[in-house]
Amino acid sequence: MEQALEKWQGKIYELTIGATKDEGGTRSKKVKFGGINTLPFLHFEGIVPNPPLIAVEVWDTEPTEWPDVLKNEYKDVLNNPMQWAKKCEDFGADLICLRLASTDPDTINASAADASKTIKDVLSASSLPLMIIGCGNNEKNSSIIMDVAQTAKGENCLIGMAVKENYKTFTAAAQAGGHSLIAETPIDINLEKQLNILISDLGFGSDRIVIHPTTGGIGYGFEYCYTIIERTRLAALASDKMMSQPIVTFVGQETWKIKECKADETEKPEWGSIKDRGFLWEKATASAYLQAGSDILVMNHPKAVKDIKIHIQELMKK
Amino acid sequence: MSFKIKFLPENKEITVDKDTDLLTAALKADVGIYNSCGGKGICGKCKLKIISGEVNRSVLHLSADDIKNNYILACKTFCETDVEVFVPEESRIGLAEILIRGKKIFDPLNIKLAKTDVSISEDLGIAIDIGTTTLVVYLLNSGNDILCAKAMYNPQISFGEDVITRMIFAEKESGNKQLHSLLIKGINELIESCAKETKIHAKNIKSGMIAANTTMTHTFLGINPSYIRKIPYTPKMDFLPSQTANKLGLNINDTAIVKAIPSVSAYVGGDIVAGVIACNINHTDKPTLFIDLGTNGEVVFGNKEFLVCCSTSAGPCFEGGGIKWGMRAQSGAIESFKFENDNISYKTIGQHKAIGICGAGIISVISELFIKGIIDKSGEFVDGSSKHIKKGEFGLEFFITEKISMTSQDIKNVINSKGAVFSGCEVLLKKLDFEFLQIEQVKIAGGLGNALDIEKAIILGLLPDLPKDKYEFVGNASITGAKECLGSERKLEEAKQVARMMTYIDLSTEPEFMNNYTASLFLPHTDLNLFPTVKNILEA
Repeated sequence: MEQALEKWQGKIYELTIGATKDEGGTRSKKVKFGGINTLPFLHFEGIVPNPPLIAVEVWDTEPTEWPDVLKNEYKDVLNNPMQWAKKCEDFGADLICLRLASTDPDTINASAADASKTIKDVLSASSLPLMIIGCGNNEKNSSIIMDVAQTAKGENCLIGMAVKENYKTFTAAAQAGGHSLIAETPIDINLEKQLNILISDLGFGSDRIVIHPTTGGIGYGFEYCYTIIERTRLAALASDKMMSQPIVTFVGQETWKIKECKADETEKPEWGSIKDRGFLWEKATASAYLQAGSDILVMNHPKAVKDIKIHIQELMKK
Repeated sequence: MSFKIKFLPENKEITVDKDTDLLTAALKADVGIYNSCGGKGICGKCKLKIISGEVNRSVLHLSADDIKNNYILACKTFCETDVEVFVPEESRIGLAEILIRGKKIFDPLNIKLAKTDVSISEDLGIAIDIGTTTLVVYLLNSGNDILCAKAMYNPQISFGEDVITRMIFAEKESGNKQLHSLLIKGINELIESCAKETKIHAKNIKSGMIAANTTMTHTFLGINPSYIRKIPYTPKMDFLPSQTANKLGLNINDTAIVKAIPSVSAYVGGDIVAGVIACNINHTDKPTLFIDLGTNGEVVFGNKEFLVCCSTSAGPCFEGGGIKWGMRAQSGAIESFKFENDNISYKTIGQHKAIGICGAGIISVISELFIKGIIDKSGEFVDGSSKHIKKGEFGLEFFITEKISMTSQDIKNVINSKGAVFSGCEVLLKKLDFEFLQIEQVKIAGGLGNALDIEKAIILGLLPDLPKDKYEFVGNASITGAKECLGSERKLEEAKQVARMMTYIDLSTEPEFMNNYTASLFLPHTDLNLFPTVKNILEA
């Protein structure tokens, strides 16, 4: 029987993050993602040139909101981003996602200079390619991003999050520092495309954008996000160049704030051991986003990372 | 306790008690004052200047300068002594020149008026278009030729600029009665001035035909329209009974029969049915798109075989509502705009000093600034791109004159409106599996249509990117339809048939609409391939 195959015209942009010594950076390796010309892992239908990547979060301050079960995994390094980054490299992260949480004016309100120092420290401690994202405050993010981008100049990082309100500053910063950019929109394919157009209209290469279409945890809006990612991919495969960017999802961030991963056995005895629940939830969410088409998963729990890495290897087998 | 209020420059006086706000007082004194919110202190349009006397006012919507110069909002101000107030030009309701000044065949001034020497006993008729914003009356002779055409603002405007605010008002005690009698009063004024001009006797007017949206038709007949805005959005009736002029209070022959063109649904009324008749869409083979760029933004698509329609709730911005310096198309409104090397040139209606911007002008300004790179695709000003951009109270503003500006918020409102109209068109076509290119003719109706520059409207993404020769301005198609139905029983039968056959699509329950709508909230559109000529301009 003849196999019915879909013939897609389009292809996702392939993007490289990190720069080695020859390229003016200090990274020991580069990572490549995207480049697929079919839906996720359909090896029989198209080419899946790169496996999805796992970025592990490193914070510049102790994450007070995290449940103990996650904090315990990092208990010696929570106040030391350098050691934290090293630890992530050791247990198998493909890249480090440095979160500049302390710059938030509502918490520590760290300055651009503080942020720059942290970036330098992390770059010296780990040789993995780097993702750098700001705090939850757009205004503050805009005010420090220029310095951030300059500090990491030459390292070909992935910086974010450019949103509709601050994309001009972020684009200029990424352009000047030679970085790629995460464009974030609130779960709508049209808004997603509009932001990509606005960023490219500033002269920034559309092949250097990564889409964050908004991440929802399983049980917390995952289906919406899945649909948006799927529609984005279908548009890209139909040759829409402004939708053909790789996709990043923040799996860890969405997992560890929900009650299923925070409520302990005294509160919810029927839910089983809190020790297993969280990382299993993160794993389930990550594998679901792999099926949706996520090219980079940003994760937290070392055990979940290890298991998903194996899972990706399986999925990449032809 | 009561006080005397004198309204300048008209010198009209009225005595009111201390609990009557100045807007209500003005209404009673027959002084026309703009306001789009129905006197709730939201729109900030009913600004007056206190010349003498003490008042109790709220400072809402007033700038520091306004307060210093004794400006007040009429709807939120009460007298404490006798007062004298001045109504500034921008707050005055004037005549809608554009409706009786247009260019094309539908314009009364271009229509050959019949000889006015009417025989004493000749039976005459009137066709009336009741818009949410404007009233137009045609006086017709027995051969259905136009003897005289008159227009004025719908006096109900004092109770709110859109149909929803008026329906809410109709729910108040005697609210509906007030709406009805104000409307009748306005129409009677128009009839009287027609009669005066043509020297005829109003008692010789023995028939009448009205074309109006569903809400207006209800208030004209004195029927409470408030159910229209309540689930399941059903009007009391679509096919309305004939009435005698006597019962309605119209000052024509007491026994004259006044008929209304039937409505299709809550938000597609007899005015749209009349438009279909006027454009002969029910007789053509050609797939035709009909767009009424009024407050409701109705769209019809079809031909003699089928007709579908929807109401896009475009909002009042193409009539000047919700825009800082927006105004209706009347004397002094900027109607076209050019921008070259950071130099501004513009034209106003009647070549008067600019006092605001009308719908056609708003479209002209935004599309010109977009093409020249002053506004980006999301409708934001590009900072530093022009010396005319200054930081105002609510973000960046582009100053066309020293005083008149276009704000970022204005542009957002226009993008919302144009997005609604365009995605309404898209949904209608998609419903029937049609492509834009299959449309053979587009008829644009409305008060704004006469001065509308099609190319600029396409650049904005308001109208589909089709060759200009497919477009035709039909001006006020509603009254033309009413006139035709008054002159011919057959046409009225056709109108009834159209109202029956037209399928109403409720956009609020169409899942596709929301998706198309967000895609259209961009200049010209998120999918630039839908606008190939604009794409060429942008790439050039």
